Amino acid sequence: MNYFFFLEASMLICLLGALISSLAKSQEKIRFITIYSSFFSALCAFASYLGFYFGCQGFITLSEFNAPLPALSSTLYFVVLLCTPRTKFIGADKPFPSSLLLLSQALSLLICSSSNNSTLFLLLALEPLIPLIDLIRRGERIRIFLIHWMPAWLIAITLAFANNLPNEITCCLITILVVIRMGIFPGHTWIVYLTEKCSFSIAFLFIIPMTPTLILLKNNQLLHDTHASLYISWFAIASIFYFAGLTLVQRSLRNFFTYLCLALSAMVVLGVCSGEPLQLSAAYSLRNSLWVALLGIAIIVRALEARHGKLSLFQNHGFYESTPMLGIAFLVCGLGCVGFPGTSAFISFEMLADEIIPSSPFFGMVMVFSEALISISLLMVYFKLFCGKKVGWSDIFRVRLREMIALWVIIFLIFGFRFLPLTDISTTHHALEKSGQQQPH
Amino acid sequence: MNGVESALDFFAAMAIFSPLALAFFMLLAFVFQLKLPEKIIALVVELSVFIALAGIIGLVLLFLSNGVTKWGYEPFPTFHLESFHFDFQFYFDWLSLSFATLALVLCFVIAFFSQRYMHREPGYQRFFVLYSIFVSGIVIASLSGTIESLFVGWEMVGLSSALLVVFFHERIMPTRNGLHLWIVYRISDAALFLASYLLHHALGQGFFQAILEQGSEGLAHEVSSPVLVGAGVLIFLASACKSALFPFSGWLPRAMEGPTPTSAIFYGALSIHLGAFLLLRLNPIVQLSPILAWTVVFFGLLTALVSGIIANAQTDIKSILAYATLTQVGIIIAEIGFGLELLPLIHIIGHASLRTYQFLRAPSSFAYYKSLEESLGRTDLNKHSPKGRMANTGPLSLAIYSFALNRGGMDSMLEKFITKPFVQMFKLADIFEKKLGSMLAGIDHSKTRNHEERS
Repeated sequence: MNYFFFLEASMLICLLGALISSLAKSQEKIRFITIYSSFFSALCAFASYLGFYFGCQGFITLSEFNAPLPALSSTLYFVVLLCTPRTKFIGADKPFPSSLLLLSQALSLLICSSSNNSTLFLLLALEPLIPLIDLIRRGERIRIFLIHWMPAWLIAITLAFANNLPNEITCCLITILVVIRMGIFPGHTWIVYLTEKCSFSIAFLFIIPMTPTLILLKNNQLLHDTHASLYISWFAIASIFYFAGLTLVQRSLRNFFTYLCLALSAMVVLGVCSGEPLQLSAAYSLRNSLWVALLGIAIIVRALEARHGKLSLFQNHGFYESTPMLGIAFLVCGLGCVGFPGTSAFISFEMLADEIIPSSPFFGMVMVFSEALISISLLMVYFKLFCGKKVGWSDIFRVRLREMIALWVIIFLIFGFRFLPLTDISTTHHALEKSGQQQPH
Repeated sequence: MNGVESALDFFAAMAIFSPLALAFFMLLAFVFQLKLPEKIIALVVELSVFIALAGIIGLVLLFLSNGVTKWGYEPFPTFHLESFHFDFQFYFDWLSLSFATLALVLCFVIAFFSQRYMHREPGYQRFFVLYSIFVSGIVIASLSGTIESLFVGWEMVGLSSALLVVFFHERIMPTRNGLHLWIVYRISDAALFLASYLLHHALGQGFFQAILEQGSEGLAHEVSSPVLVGAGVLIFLASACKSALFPFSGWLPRAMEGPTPTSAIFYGALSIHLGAFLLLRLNPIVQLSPILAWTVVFFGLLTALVSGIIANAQTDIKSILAYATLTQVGIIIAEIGFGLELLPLIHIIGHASLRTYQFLRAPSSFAYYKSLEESLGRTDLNKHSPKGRMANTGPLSLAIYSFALNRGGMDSMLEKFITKPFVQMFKLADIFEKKLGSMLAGIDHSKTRNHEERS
């Protein structure tokens, strides 16, 4: 049935919301428009997911593989906006990038529902414009961003429009693009800068979805045939260990979070580089689980920074007594990141390691060891933030209802994501196999 | 399915799901910030532990009355996808039933004790949330029928233990000690994870029943020995970390920062014996290689010897008990290394029960000793203090005393040769990263550093 236009409507709502909020004068109105546009967009995306489940589609056709993604993506955008403190919208030194966030949400919906290779490359080239505009808007330097992204844009546009490139060159270009966009060592420096200088919401909503995994999945066979996947794997494994180690020695909470994201996304890249369908399914499921868990941590980091300013990890802050909910959520999200039993990343992580070890025991061992390092640094940061002498309690430390709802949604997704229709590994595996058969090699 | 089988399944479900339901309920209440009254919390915890215990007793009675010696229970269908399978199964035999009975009896006693001990403590609910996760973890670990399910329980025990050490989280020392414990436990988890992979690779599955039925000789005939020995080494490493064997013993006295009931149940009774239980469960793999078996004996005896010496120089009751516990655990591990099965099990049960009593008695024993001192006079008791005992001794005794006071230098050795160089390497990398970032962004690095230091 091709008259189920909820997905298209969800994108349109975001675009309209972005337009209206950019024209609106009152900060209160902007806040209202942003949150409600995001909410209705999420609602429509969810309807499109349900529609697919019951066999209804619109112009943009979803597959079993990406059906839950637009709903997940827009829910997470809505959750981020929902728990954004009012003070960020109204009366802040630097105005909140409401319209940019809505644009980013529309773009993310398009990426999640896109199945064409050229479109994906084009969207990948468009995506970084949002953080770039935000950096310019905030009066920050953009040199480091341009140093990395000028070649990446060139590559993405070449890949989007040039159809007759030799396979080896295509793979080489994809490798460079992925290394830069995912922040794989040594192309990661700009991401650390971005999270420090850009609006935190824009930065983490740009980094966490790990968009290039879709490119790697689409071009998996090609990368495998030309051995490019092997080179990416080597870069990825070096990155996992390096970034996991760096999480242990960070003195600023934001930098810790950045390296955590980088280490975990490198882990997903390592999984996606394989030609084995099982490993691909595990990596893809892991990516979806990490998307939720990392976003949860990002929300908590932002909530703490909104109350306290930028946080250093030199001393213990003792936030637990004043904001226990944030402490509990931090722990749950942290456990979700390392695939603790019961969380949705658990089976994916087990399966990924189980598939990587036979093909390369060294990679497998480094991965397991790095995962242990990440879990150590996560608990260390939890202790630094939430343990120690109690900070003087005031009303600003109270967790608002909106934040609570946002965190409950995240916690629900961390534990229950795989129980939703079309989100478990078996469905992903089935969808990947189907798309692999359809894809011309 | 006949009546006995249905009854066995019913009791198995009681034993497993009651603690799991408890953990789920407590977590849910905690996440939704529902403040439950102390009495309700205590009642729910005691009731669910009691139901689980009743399930285990029911199983024991059915085993005895029907001559059953082993029973497998699969509550969830195996997750199967091509060559990957995740078996969440449980296996009941005399070993698992004995350990689970011990665990649940002690958990029930401690829950009862904690109800009063933690009365009006601000973190009362948090304590019981973590306690219920621990109970679920220990039940899953002790009754697990596959290495996968054991791994789930193993991780739950590890997390709850680390967080309970940091129960008094407003103080800095418990957080440091909790982190120390967590680091050792994560090494243990990583080793167990890799061991589980090797077992799957060698045997095609991780069922304990299959391993136990084949025994060492059967395993040696059927599968590649080096892979299984590798798995055995990793299993031993996982056990050594969990049971605080030499040189990983440093976390044990540090773990005493938690409330007394947790010290009793974790480090006196259950957590500390979980490593020994794992070795006992997978003894056929350990016995596959004589070198590995002798290594187990060696480290067991070394731990017993070193801890025995260290215990004599401790000045607080919890540390004395911790090292005394470790001495016995070392002996239990050595017994397992010798290939014994019944003796280590009896040793574990007896020792865990005694230590639970001693740990729970520890706070009130000060009052008891005080009254004793008042009756007998101070001089007699001072003779028994470490300082009194070490008076008028030669240089060798002093060297041993100094070794004991430094707790064998284990922590400093690990820190000097492993932790420090590792962290230093990443600190240098971090400095390089900052310089590179500043250079590429066109920012003066020294200004950024000064700003960071000020903040």
